[in-house]
Parts: sequence; structure tokens; C-alpha cells
Amino acid sequence: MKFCKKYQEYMQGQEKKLPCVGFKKLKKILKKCRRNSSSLKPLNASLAAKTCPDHCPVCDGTFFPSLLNEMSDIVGCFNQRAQKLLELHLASGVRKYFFWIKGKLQGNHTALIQEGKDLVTYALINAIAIRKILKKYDKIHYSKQGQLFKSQVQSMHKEILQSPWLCELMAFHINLRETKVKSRKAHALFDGCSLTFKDGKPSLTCELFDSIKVDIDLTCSICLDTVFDPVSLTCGHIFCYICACSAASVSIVNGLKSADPKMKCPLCREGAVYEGAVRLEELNILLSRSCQEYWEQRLQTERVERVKQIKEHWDSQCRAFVGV
Amino acid sequence: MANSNLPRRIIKETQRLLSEPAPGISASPSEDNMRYFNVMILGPTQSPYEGGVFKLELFLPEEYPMAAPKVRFLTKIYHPNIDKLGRICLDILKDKWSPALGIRTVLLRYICLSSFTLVDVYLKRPIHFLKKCSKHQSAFQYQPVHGFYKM
Repeated sequence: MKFCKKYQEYMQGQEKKLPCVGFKKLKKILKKCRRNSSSLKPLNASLAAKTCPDHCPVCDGTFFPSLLNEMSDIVGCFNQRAQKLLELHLASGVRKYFFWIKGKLQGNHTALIQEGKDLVTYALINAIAIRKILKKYDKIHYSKQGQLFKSQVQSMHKEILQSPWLCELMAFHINLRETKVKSRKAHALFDGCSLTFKDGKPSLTCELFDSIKVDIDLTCSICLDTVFDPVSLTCGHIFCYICACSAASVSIVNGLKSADPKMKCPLCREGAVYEGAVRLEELNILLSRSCQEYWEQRLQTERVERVKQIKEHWDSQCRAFVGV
Repeated sequence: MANSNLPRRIIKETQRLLSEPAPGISASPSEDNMRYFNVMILGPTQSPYEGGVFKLELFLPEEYPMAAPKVRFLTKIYHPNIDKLGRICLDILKDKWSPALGIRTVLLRYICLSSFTLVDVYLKRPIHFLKKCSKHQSAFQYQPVHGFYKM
């Protein structure tokens, strides 16, 4: 079965109407472009080799803007739903009860897992759809505009695989996997997530019908250890909370929100990435269960560092208050 | 300086440097100070430095990895980015430093620096350049009197 059909079947099978990639509409734009370029008789053989110029006004005016809008909608919807689901799962007793009263908690533990699984599948299948349509664009135009667009979208944080909530959902899925879930879908698209250790280095992996494999490295590139109390910056890179605070030149007390917007990500050097950083609590739970010895050891060293920083902070506050 | 309170990162980097050395680079920590490294770099092939062995000293400050390591050539070398005292002008050691970089990255950048920075100089005035380089040939065996970062 062609991916386009598979994708449309999947999207129609969703109970709620979710934003998706308008495959048919985008293909029509590309077909129209192909027809236009073939009707213009090329003057020489070198022009005949190309179906369409590098910058195509027919496509660039409609194809990329509409794809960008769709991508924004998909990422927005995914982030919102994932955030809601995780907020519900991580809520404490009183809050959970409050959510239940409000009617947010539909069903049981199994329904939660299923929704998490569905969201991961939704993210991955849309990532494939976007990749396929951009490949098609490049194939028709003999260009690399599709790849260029992809990198621009990444810098705008509209790439779904870059979302910190995807990582959280994968961890959430592994955390709750003990319960066997009967899938509502007729065809299983999603093989599931796993936490793997290669040479002692942890990574989250997830596959979707042999078409896409997401591999998230869980080693902090600052301390070169497994991420502890992980935080994802808006660029999608994951660090330990303390390491991120050090890189942003802020104390733990003030937190990443107080970081200077000029401070850059240590890996991609992108600016203003600390303010919207997300604490990955599900991932933290998963890692604390998976490597308990390391966790205990790290917890002690972190506690010492935190106490030291808090002490320094209050000392400076007192000095400022007294006027020393 | 005591090596007992050495950060795990430095220990990990040192272990990796010793177990998987980068091609053309040999770096080993000093016995009395684990933050001080003795480095030997082989002159890159197809560059004016081919066949040369250059000694460097590398020191990891207290703030490392938030602050860049301090590196200096001990072997005399003729290079537009290196001064008479062996201090190197390299972006990643100044404003472009990032805690995600490490000792290995820095040393590999030196190899790139010596391979490519001089291409223009070498092509414009090859005889003058090679004369200057040959003046420093004896310096390949240059022994440092005292490492200025050593504590």
C-alpha cells in the first residue's frame, strides 16, 4: 500500500478531527507545476534536462506557505494534547481529583497509555508525511529547496520530531507499559518505544513501520553523563538541569527563566532557547528506575551543589539587604 | 592541586583520550596535576609542517567546561595564528567556546588550523615561507624549561 493511502486511512480512523498534512492538495500543486513546465517548450537540451527551475514561483508561492501552516497546526495540536495528557498523569492526588471532577480524566490507566501511544504515532506518521512530500518536491524540481525548507522549519521550532513532548511521551509510554493494552486500531503502526544502552550510553528509540526511526541520545554533552533531572531547550537539545543552568550562567534558585536571551545552546549555538525550556519529568522517572545506582550517586552530588548554590544566593541577598 | 575533587567530566575525557587517541595526537595528563596535559601533535601530512613533532601544554581551569581550556605551543612554530610565546588565536578558545566542546575537539581544531590557515601564505610566497619554516626545524626537539600553567 502506498504511504499516501496509508496516511489518509490513519487520519480518517482518528476519532477526533486532527490537523494533518494535505497530501492531495500539495500533490496537486506539484502536478500543476509539472504541467506548466512541460507545456513551455525548452529551447535547448540543457533546459530540457530540468523539469522545473530551482526557484519555482508556482510552487514557492503556494506549496511552502501551505505546508508551513499545516506543520504549525500539527506541532501546536501535538504539543497541546501531549502537555494535557502528561499534566494529568503527573498530577498529585488533589489535582488529579480536581481533573477528574472537571471531566478531564476519561477512562482508566489503559486509556491513558493508549492516548499516549496514539499521540506518538500521530507525531511520527506526520513526520514521515512531511519528509515524503518534501522529497517529492526536490525530485520534481531537481533542487534542494525541500531540504533547505526543512532546516528553516527546524530553526523556527516547527519540526515535530524536535518537540520535547515527543521525548516525554516516549518515556511515559515505557513507564506505563506494564499494563497490556489492546489497541483500538485494526493495523498496528507503532512498534513501541524502548530505552537502550549502547556502551553504557542511554538512548530512547522508537520505530514506525520500518519507515522512520527516532533515536534520542540521553547523554548530557556538558557533563558527559546520563542526563539527570533532564531539561529540553526550545531547540530540542537535552541537558541536565544543573548543566543547563551553568551554561546559561544562572543559579538554580533563579532558574532558566531568568537566563539572558543572548545565551546560546551549547550544541547548536541558537539564541533565546532557555526561557521556554521544558522539564522532562517522565524521562526523569524512567531514568531513575533504569539506572538506580547511578541515580543515587548523582542525587547526593547534586544535593551538595544545590545546597551550595542556595547558600550563596541567600548570602548575596542578605548582603544586598544589609547594604554591605 | 589535589586530584581527588576532579569533576567526572575531566576523568571521562582523560580516559577517552588515553583509550581512543585522536589520529596524530598524543595527550597525557601530568601525574601531579590531572588538569595539566602534555600534548604532542604530529605535523599534518601535505602541509608545511609534515614530519614535525610539536609539543603543547593544555590546562583545564577550575571553571572548565564552562570556561575554555588554556593551550600553548611549547615547540617554536611559524604560523600566522601563533605568537612568539606559543599562544594561539583560535575562536573556540575565546568567544566561540561552548561547554559541549572538549579537549579532543580543541586539539583536532589545531590540526585543522595548521593544515589550512597557511595555504594562502604558502602559495603566495612559498620560498620565503619554507625558509622561515626551516629556521624552526631545530625547534622540533625544543624542550620547554617550565610549563607556565603548571602548578
